[in-house]
Amino acid sequence: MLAALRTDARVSGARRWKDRAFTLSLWACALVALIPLASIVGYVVVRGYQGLSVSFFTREPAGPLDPYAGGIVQAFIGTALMVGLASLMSVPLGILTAIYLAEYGQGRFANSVRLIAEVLLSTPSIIAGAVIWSVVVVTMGSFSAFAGALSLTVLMWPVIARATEEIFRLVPQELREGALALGLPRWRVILRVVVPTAGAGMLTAVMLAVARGLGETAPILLTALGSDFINVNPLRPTDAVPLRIFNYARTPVEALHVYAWGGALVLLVVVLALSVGARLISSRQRSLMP
Amino acid sequence: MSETRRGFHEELERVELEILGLGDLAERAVGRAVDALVTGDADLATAVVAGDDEIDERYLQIEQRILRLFALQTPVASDLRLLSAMLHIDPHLERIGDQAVNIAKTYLAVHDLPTSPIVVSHIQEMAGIARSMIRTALEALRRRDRHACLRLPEMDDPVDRLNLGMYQEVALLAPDPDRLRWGLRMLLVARQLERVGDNAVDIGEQVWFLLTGEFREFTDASHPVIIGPDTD
Amino acid sequence: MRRIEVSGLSAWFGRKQVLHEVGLVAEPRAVTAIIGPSGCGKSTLIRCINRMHEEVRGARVEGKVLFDGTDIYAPDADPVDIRRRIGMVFQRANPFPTMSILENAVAGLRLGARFPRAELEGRAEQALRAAGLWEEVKDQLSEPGGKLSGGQQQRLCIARALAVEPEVLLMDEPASALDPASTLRIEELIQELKEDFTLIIVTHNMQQAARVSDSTLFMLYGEVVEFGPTEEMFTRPADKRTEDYVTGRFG
Repeated sequence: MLAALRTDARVSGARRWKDRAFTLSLWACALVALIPLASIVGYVVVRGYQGLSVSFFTREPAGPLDPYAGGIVQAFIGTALMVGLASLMSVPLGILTAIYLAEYGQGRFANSVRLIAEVLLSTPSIIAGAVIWSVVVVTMGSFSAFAGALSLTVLMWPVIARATEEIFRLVPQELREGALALGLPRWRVILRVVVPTAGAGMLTAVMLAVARGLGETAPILLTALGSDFINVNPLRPTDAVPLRIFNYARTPVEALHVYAWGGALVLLVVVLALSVGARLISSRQRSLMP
Repeated sequence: MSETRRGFHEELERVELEILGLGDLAERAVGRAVDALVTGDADLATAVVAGDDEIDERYLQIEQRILRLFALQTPVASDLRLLSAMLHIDPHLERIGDQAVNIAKTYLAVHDLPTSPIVVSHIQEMAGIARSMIRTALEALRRRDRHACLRLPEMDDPVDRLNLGMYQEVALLAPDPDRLRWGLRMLLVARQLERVGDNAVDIGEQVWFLLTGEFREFTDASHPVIIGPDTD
Repeated sequence: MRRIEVSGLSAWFGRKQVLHEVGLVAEPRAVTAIIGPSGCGKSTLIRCINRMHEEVRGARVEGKVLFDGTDIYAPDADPVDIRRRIGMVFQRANPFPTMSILENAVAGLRLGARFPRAELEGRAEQALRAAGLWEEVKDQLSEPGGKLSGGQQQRLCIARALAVEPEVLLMDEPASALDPASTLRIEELIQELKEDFTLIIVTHNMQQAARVSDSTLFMLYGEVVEFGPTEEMFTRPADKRTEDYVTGRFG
């Protein structure tokens, strides 16, 4: 019996060490993965903090003599305008697509739609910009916020469509059956039971799409051009925050670099807030689902 | 917790009421048969014979209702014991009815013969005890009374003794051939009454099983043979 | 008369045939039970009676189901209207999670064509009473439906089905997900409901079928083996396969 005990101690001891070593190495990997993220966030915060000021948020760019007197308000307005327009177009379209795919789409057409959405999801954004440039900008004869919004729509629609479709698939089939068995037509079942149950999940999808739209630079470059002045006319060229960051980063002026970092910080905060918020909502949503 | 097998338990109660009703009917049939014999009422005796149809019909209906409950309700525990007890009690009551008919028919066969008051009073005494045994057995069921069950074998002793004593009394009638013929028939009547007593004791055994879960033969009060959950 | 008469009913899932020429009769003010081993087609059968089977992709039905003398599979028949008149309760309670108890009870009325709002509360109370749930929930009508216990949720679903005032109620293993006490309550409820409805119940619990139903249909491999009064089925079944199933010798 003593021999057996000794063997047991040896086996469990060895195993314990193996477990510990494995756990430690996993922690180490996680830390290593966190380092780039932490350094990016830290760097942006440190460099961008200096750029924030009242004039940063409220003034158009000033002359070269006193750059700190101005700001990039037109970029904020432009981003808001274009992302807003893009949302107006992509959200209804995306949700309707999702409803079609989840509730009706079993045939070849539905599969094609799904495939297109998948492709667009992973398309390099500059291609979306290039296409809109040749179709809209050239035809209209000028760059415009509208063209910018269109290019963002191309990028945001598939996010909404696919994410919302997944949410609808999570709604249990037995809820649909229960509603159908009451003698309700299918469209009422979708509208009054499936959509409300999916509720918060759809908001998550929209938030993720908006987070994507906020950060895109390349398509804006080709479609909205940018501007130093506030513009609310969708048919005229407009500035956007990522575009302004790109432009300022290329100048030799130190003050503009500071402003670029400021813009980066604002973008980071907003996108982070949207992503974290989406995550919180979806985990609460999951706990509600039967 | 609210009672959830209400329908089933209501039907159980109704069947029990039917059994008690059948018991009353059988007991009264015995009483009327003996009354007919004692008072010399041939019409009454005929009525008793005719009345057995109703006893038989009720017996069959109860049988069917119990079977239906077994099939459809899968009874357990005390419900199961009650149904099983009633299933056994039912034919005992029917047989008591048959014994009443036999008494009536026997009387009718010799109703015009001379009688002996001593023998008649013996029969009356036996009948009195036998009827009270039936009532005691039914009360034992109605009130779920163990003591009533145990009284039954005690009450059976005098019935058996009276039955044995009948032979001597009838032998004394030997000098009168007609009276003797009548007397010999009265021996049959006495035996019927003794059987009524036995049936009542059997009913008591069934009620005992219902109340305790023990199978117990009341051979007589002093030598019970017990078969129960602990014995094998 | 709210009789249901099924004849020559066959059903497929894609190419697989799951019902073969099935027939049954469900009388009003009576409970008809459908029993049989798993996979015998009893759920499919009951879902053909309110035209839910065809909602599955690739599902197909042939044959006749007469409701009140009219074939519900006639080309001009409206499945939505049929499902309002022939209600269904499912195996697992499925109250709508975004609605309160009251809203769940009258969901069929609220979500459907226009229904006067003032009458909703009255109908909710009526339906909840009929389902034996009113006393337990009357003080928490605005609580979410998901907060109730399993047995209560199932009774809520029964109330929801009753609120649209169907003529027939189909129940697909209504108590199989419940504890024994709740199961018996549902069985008592079934006995009460049969006063006013035609009830058809699928159950895998034979004793339950024996306790609650007036007629029983026994199915095997998509076919009807025997159909008759419940007492007959459980005391002297005509078919040996029925005898074997009911006595537990197989299945």
